[in-house]
Amino acid sequence: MTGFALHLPAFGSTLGLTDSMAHPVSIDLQTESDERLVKHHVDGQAGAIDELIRRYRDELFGYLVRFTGSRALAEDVFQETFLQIHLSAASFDVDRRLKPWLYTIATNKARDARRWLRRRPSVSLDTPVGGSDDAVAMVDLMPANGNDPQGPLQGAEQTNRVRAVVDRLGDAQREILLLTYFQRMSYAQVADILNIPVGTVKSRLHGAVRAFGELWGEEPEQ
Amino acid sequence: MSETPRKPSDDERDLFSLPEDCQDVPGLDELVNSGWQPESDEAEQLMARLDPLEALRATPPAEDVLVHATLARIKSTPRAAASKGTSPAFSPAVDGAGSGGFQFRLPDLFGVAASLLLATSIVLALGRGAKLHSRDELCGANIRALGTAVESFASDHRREVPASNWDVVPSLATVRQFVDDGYCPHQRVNCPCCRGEKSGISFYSVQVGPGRIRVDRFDPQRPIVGDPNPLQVASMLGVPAPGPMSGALSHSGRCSHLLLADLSVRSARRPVWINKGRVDAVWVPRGHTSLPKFALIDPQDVFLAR
Repeated sequence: MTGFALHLPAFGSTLGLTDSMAHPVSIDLQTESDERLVKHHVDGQAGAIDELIRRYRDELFGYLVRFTGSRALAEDVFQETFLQIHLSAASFDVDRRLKPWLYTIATNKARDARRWLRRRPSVSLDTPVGGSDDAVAMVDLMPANGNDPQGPLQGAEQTNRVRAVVDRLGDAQREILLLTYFQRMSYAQVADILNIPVGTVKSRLHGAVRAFGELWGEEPEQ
Repeated sequence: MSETPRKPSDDERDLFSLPEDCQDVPGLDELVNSGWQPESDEAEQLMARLDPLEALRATPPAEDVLVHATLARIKSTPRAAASKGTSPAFSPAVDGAGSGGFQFRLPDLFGVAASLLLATSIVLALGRGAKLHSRDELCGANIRALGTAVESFASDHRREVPASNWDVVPSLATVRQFVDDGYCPHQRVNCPCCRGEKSGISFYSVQVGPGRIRVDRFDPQRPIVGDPNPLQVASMLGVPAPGPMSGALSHSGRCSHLLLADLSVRSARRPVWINKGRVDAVWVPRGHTSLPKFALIDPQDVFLAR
């Protein structure tokens, strides 16, 4: 198994023993719990935060993409989240679970990012460049990575429509819907993350599901 | 008149979902509790209704470059320094989980207010000191200009200058004459410390009177010009009195300079305050119990201060 193996000098060096007498302590970070990884990071052990990011990179990034609706914004929030974990690691109670704390920070950061984005005007990539009638859009000037634009076109269109409907939900309903449906979290877990009563989580989720159904029903093409 | 319904805000949407307003969606609790594995028909139907959400299921993976960038930021941000003031692009807003945001407490507010008050008072004191210093410098320059004028006038008039009743120069008229005849380079020779006095007219006078006097007759250390109260300044400087009566009655400023008969300028270390309309000190000639209208100056006269 190739994981992060940390070799630490034991007390020998501080007790005046020779290097050969000191027994290195090896910690396999891959087998450590999330909470212990935070503790190791606070203790200054290199690689602990790396392992933490590795464990949650895709799961958290996916959540942030769905929450923010923007990959670029999700990347920013992803960085801010782990930076905050790094800054506040010393105050983390290792007796509690890391995941709710991680999602609390990520959700708050994503919420702030969306508000921050709403306060700043942005230019759509479909904005025509130049003033003539046959002007090309900004998006047309960007290099494409895909091979077949026709294939995922319909899927992308469906995704955009669903995302538009989800965006029409309020922040409070949207984050609960995403946490329960996509992250498969229970009412109690979501309540822990959002720091609200379980009953509120439940009512908001019911409201979100009902609102989604109604809004999706209003969509002209399905 | 038809009204377009306003789009509800996020907070209003939240309010709509309060428990008392909410009707349960059949099968939803079962789905959540079972990890979204439908067992009942209601749950099956609800899953079908939520099926469009699956379009959001697929998300791009976090690229390695993002992970590397995150680690680089973490490694370049020391925890101790960052926890005191580092402000990420968005506000930290970590509820109850070691927030790194600003938290003002009342003592902090008092500290900031006290610091601002202290800084303001220091700045005001420095400004006031600078203003007084500039006035003091201008007053000294005026006194020196008058000394030059006296000397020039005396040179042109057989060492004689216009004298006052008390044989003290220059009088108010003399100063005007100095200015008018071009002996004094300053057109405004009033003491800058005398606020509210008539501008353009010097108050560097002690007494006024007709006649001429030879400047050589004066004691070289005797003050001949001062404002506003040469009596106090002379006393403070330890020089002979300028005359039996000071013109300090009408003077309201502060001044610390004296022009002596040898045309040197003496300055007190601190200015002398004279309140307008008050006689702060008078010279009573020897042998008199009250102030005569006319009296000669005698170094043995008694200085009385109120």
